[in-house]
Amino acid sequence: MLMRQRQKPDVAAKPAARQRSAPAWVWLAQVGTGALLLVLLTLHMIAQHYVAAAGLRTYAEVVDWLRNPVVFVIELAFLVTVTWHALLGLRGILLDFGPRERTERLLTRGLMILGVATVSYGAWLLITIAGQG
Amino acid sequence: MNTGSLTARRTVRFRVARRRRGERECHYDEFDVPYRPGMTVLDALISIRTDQDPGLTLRHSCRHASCGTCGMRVNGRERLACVTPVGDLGDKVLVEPLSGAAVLSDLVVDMRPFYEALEAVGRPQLRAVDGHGPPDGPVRLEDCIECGLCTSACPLVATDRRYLGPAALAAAERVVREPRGQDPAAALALADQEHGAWRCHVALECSQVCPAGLDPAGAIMELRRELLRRRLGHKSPQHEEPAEDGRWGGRRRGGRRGVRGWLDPRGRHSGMWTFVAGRLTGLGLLCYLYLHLIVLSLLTRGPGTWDRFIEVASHPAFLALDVLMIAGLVVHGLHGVRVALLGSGLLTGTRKALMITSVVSGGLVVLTAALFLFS
Repeated sequence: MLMRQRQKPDVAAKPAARQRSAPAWVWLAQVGTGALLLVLLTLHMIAQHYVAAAGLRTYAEVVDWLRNPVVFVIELAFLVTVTWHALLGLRGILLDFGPRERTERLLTRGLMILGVATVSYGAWLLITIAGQG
Repeated sequence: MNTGSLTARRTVRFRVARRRRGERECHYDEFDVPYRPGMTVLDALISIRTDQDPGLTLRHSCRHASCGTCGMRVNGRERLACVTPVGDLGDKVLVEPLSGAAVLSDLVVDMRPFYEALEAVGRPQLRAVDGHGPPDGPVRLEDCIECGLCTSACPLVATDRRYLGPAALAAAERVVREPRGQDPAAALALADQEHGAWRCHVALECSQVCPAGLDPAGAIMELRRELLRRRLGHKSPQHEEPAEDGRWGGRRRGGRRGVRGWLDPRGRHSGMWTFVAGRLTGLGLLCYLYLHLIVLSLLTRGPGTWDRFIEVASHPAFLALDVLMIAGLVVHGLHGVRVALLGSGLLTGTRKALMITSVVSGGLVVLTAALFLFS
């Protein structure tokens, strides 16, 4: 082995330069939305392919389906959860490339904006489709 | 094992990565080495240096897997050269330096950031008995031989220069488990970072390559469980900015393989493949999410547009893409469940069973979905 006699750094004595976001909560959010997605995706699949007779095929069937308030809420919850999980996952992959802190902050903000835009567009789409017919 | 057949051959061809200080890229030199039974890769490299190229640089010392200095990649997999029999490797052997660290010369990499990361977490040192031993003598992490193979094999170290790495995180877990007078809060604070224990994505390569038979991946999972326990129990450790220079590879990119480190198939194990599959399927499903929104937007254009799309969607080629999407969904979902369980410190003793269960159940779900879609 290499012979080393270095002074061990006193980590605890370092000044707290900046409070970082709590990564444990990021991990928990990813796991939590993942678990929720398992439930919502199963509901989504069962409802669209088994509850709806022969699956949703025609324009009228889809519109009627989304006009059901329970279905609308489930689909909206699915949209929010899947967007959150997907963009948090994308952030994880991008962080794997070790961006500098400033880039990391920009990435996080950019993805938050993208998430809000995605959910907004998806919600508008759901409302528009349910309002037709 | 093909030792018998190799004994009958005269030479083994070694392809060795060469790089001098200041050179941006490495090149490879080939050497034919006469084989003798029992020869190790280290024996062969020393033979090359003695008989063919005195300029070949490498580190070695004890020759019995104790010092950890001769770590390198042999045929793509992290190994200690001193205990890797040439007879197990075939007639062509590729030798490269460890990944994730700056190459100083040929097979010698800069280990300082690796040691500094270990020291930053306050690694447990050899027990001092009656005043003998550390701190004045050489120090080392208990059991770990500090060879750096785990860090070289880690796919996240391949890309993330700020990731603390498996060795340092395993050392942090050791400090937390048995502080021996140290304050575990400092180790926990370092581990509880975005680029600390939470960066690990359970590829488990570190534990696969450890020549000392340790389990750094298991230690990281235990560490995360401890962090979660403290956080949920409102005993959160203090958060501090990690030392910028206390990282494997430091600020330099030198020796880091990037995404190639994820996709290099040589010597990898099932955990690594699920790591890659999880990422690729995740990106694929992200694209699908937006594609799905685009498809749904066709509904705003009226029944005619939608009916034309349904005609296209009924084509067998489109249905095959649906099966592919479901396969991606299943792979990603099962990988996620596995990572969530193992990464939270649950079922860590049943990794293999968890993997087999995932593969079998996933295969059945995809098969059922394919039959349903094409029936």
